[in-house]
Amino acid sequence: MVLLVTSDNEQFVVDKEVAERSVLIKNMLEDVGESDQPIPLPNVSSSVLKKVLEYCEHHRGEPLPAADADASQDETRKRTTDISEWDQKFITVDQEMLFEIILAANYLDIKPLLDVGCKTVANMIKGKTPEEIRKLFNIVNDFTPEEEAQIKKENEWAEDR
Amino acid sequence: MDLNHDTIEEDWLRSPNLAPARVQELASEMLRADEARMTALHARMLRVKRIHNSAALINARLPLEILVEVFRLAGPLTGSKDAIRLTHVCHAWRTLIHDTPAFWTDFVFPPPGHLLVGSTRRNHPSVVLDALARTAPMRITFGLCGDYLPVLNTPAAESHLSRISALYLDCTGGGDGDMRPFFDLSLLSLESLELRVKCDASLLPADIAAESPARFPRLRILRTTCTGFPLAWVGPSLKILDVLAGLEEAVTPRQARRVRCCYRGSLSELFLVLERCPGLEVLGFFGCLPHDPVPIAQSTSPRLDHLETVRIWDDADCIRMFLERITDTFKRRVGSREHGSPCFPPTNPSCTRPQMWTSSASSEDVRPSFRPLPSSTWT
Repeated sequence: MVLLVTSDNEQFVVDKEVAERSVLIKNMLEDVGESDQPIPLPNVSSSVLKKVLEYCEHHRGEPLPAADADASQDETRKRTTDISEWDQKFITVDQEMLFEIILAANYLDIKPLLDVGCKTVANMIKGKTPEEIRKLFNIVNDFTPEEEAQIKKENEWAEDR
Repeated sequence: MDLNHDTIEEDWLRSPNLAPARVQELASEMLRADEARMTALHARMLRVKRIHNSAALINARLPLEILVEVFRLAGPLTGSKDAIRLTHVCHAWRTLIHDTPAFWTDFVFPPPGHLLVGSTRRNHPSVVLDALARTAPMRITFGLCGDYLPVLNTPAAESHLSRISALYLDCTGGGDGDMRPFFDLSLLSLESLELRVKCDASLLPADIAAESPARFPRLRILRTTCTGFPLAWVGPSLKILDVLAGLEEAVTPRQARRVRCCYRGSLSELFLVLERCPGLEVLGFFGCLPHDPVPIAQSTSPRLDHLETVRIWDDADCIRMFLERITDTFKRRVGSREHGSPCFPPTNPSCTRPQMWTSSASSEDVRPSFRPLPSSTWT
């Protein structure tokens, strides 16, 4: 078992196999060797770590992606924004939690979870107009008149297709 | 006179005591002052809007590299329209996307299922040229339809041509058949060329016979649907040659032979092509082998000492004739098989190379693919 300590000082006792879904934790465990020392996670709060561990528990035992899995252009091109049913349900959270999960996945180096997070945000954006996207993320139009003129031209092209 | 514009009332300007010229002078001063205030206010509003946007959760929380990843997934990997729209959301997104070459490399070569650059009814060269410029300094794969070839011939595109290492060119659509601009391009860094063309339906230069391997001195991969002029570009650097006659119209080699645009009249002609690429490692023919009853002297057969994989989809007789007339060396390397019967490469990576994959026309369900590159049937 592994003891993880969050930024708000909450402790989580986690099965090693589950914790090692995180490359960061896996490397830390390898570095310290056999030890009961708690692993501090100063960038992850308890509410987020709970969600992250739920993901890791569900995907326990699945093969981890190779370190250079996305290195090639072809690999990138093959990617889709499809998300499995369980992952979709898991990631159905408010925006704040979604971004926190993405940040945690990035920090903890859990590539599949990071992918799910990025795909989820991408799916939120896909097919929407700029105005709809602004509304979704509480963004306002902050273009200069010159940018607006250029955008208008580009729109003629985009809308023509 | 120094006026305090905030205290001057409009009514004062209407005073009968003021001469008309003075009224206009004062009014002009007031307007200039108002305009200056409005400009300053607009600038302030813009700054405040940008501060507001920088505090939006998505911008405030996600690191730039993750935002870029999201943008790539939601933009060019989804469709070129979505890609352009993403740059219209806010200044920060637009700037970030414009400064991300990887986003634009996806744009100029979108994934299967999406429109290639140029597969439109109207030309918008500036958008394509901008996208091309924003891929710098990366080496790129450029996928485009024939109607955009003139765009690559412009001075604005010229400086980017040397970064194109792979080109996917589809000249099969309506309006895409004029290939003449292609022959004026200097693509000296090109390593991979995938060409969908029917030469009998294309406009080609009059002196096409002058084309040679010197045009693409680094070409390693050539995939073509035409058995004719593209084979002139085969040279010593070539490692992979796929000639797939018949495009999507053909499912079987027999159908491919019916719809192919041209064909090599004899095996000798084909062998002359293969002799120019002694380093060939992968050879694929679909429906393009000639029926050649004329015996060929052994000396005219090419030596393909590096050949690892052969994929031929054709009539059993054509395959047999082809393999029988290739050099003894090659025959020894591929081993003996019953020609014409379907034989697929083992999936076990530890299998002994070289592989041979042949299929006769009787295997109606067997058909090679031009994938993973995008097709002209994109929607």
